[in-house]
Amino acid sequence: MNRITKSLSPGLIILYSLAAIALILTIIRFIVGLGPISNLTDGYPWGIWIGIDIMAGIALTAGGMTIAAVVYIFGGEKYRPVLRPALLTAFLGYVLEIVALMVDLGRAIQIWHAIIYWNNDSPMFLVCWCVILYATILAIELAPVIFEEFKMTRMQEIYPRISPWVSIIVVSFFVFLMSNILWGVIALALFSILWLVFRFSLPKGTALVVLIITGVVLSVAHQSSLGMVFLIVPQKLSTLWYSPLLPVDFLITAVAVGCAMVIFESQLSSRVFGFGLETHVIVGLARALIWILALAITFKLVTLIVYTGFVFVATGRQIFYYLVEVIVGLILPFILLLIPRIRQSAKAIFYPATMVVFGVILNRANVGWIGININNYQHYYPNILEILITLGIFSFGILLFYHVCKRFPVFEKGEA
Amino acid sequence: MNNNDQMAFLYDSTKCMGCRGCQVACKQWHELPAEKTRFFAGGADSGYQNPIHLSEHTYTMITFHEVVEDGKLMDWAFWKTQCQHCLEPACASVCLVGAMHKTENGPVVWDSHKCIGCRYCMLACPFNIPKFEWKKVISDIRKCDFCADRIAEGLLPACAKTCATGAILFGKRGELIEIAKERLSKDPEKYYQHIYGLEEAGGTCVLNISNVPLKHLGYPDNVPMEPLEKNTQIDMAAISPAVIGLGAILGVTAFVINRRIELAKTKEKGGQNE
Repeated sequence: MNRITKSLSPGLIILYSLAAIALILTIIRFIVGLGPISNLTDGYPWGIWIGIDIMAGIALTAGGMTIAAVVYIFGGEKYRPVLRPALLTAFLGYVLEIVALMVDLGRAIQIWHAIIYWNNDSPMFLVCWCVILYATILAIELAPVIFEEFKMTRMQEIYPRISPWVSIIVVSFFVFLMSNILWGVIALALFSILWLVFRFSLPKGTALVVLIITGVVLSVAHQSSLGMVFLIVPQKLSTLWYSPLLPVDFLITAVAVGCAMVIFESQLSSRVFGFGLETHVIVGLARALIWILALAITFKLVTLIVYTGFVFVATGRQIFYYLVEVIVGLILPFILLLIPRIRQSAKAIFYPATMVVFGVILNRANVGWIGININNYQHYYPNILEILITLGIFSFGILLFYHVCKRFPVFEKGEA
Repeated sequence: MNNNDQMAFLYDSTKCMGCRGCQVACKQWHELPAEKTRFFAGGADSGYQNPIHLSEHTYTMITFHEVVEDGKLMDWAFWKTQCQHCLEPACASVCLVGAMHKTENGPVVWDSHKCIGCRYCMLACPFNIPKFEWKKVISDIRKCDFCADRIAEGLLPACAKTCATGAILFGKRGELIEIAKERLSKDPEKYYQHIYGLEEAGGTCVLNISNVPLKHLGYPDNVPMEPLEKNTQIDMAAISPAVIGLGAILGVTAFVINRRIELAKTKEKGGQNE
């Protein structure tokens, strides 16, 4: 243990410094305003903070939804060891999104207005409520970790009885918000029936299925809603990325990066914490990743052909970034994973997984600002201060993950 | 209210002499400060006007463009850029707190008390109109508000009131469309035969006519002819059914698979007992 902490300290020092720099820059941002500290303009009001911190950040959390679905819904019991780390990543991702939003919003002080003023025509309204409600569900999904650590037996007892009802209320409220009371009642009825069916036909271990389903549904809505946000700008976003099916594309790539991120993380955390994951879990994830990548590549190609017929509205720079995204982020890792020697080695799988993570981050940057064309305004590129704030927020996230894992039984087997 | 009963502008660039009285009147009425400008900062592409772009301090502005055809300078033309006050504004549809909204008689206005500063309206606007107070700590969205306060008192909007040549007409949208059509048909040689704002972005409350295509003068040439909201509406309407459908599918799947695992387990146990 001593050896591990010693060998890690340079990494921790870098993370702490990056987080500290970002904190100082954030304080400066709240003194001088957004203009002086960023390259954002009236032409390009959204930049790296929306593209990377929020859009890519949320995509990287999709492992939580994917693994939860695999374990609880599709019976993939062998993946249980990666469930808690994946859920924790997801929860911290949502905490960080709110931190990042506070930096980016022009009137951060009024962020809570999103709760009281409703406009359910807006994709951003959908995004906002997905964040609030899915973060709540993630917190409930992770709560047993805290109960276990502090031996709260009373809470452990009532947890399986209360949490399904909370999730039923959450999902019905969500549906009501997005449409009307009628749909809300239908959701309430459906999820209540599901809960009763599970309750009386399945063993106690699966009492949480309704909670997990709610989480998956909200996460699916959230991942695709981030693509929906850009449906309003068909004439601004390059046709390399824009299509009416952008939300579906976002969902597929989110599931891909969710798997990749679990592989990526488990390799890193096994190095840091010394908990090695069984090879067959990693290999199983890699096999799933192959299929998802195949789907993502096909989907991209088909939508590109159908909606553009290979006539693009794009600059040279945009074509370059598109190719990097598709080749490095999707096609190369797909080919690498097809090679049995790579697919069957937990160590080698790390590299294609990393490429997928890179590719999806680049994809969100592409949709967020690189692919946007505004007449008569100089194209946006992030300046060093914006990049430092982004790095700092991600460092803060890694530090949180590290400390929570050290303190709580995240990497142990158990009911999550 | 019927679209054609909404209050609207008709800007006729052939009547405009580029005096920028409207620009000054707008600044006076809204008490907007001056901006530091530089000659020819925008160049031929963005236009020779000052400042180059609208901003939080400039809600309307006359753009100055050279119209060049076959390498020859054909004309020196103007366009009044400002919020077009769409009939179905994209900015209002995407505002999650409903701060940006369309009023019944035409103006698209915003309520800073509600705004959280996400700047989605700026991204969504096909005319790139909403601007942001970049240098403030708590920033506001700013744009032309159609002088909604003046209209409510029965006054003309500041720019229309001050216009010396009658290039800016103010009135009911339906009546202004008739005037525009009449001008176009009476003088087909003089006018480029298109009323900008009749269908752009689903129709706007600012109508523009000119002797040259407005794309030469800064009017975005890629504005879709239907409300942009249509692109998000279908997906937003699909959310509730999708959530319920997915919930049902996942529920049934979970039931079937877990039930099967359960049966396998009891079978195993039974086998051991025997």
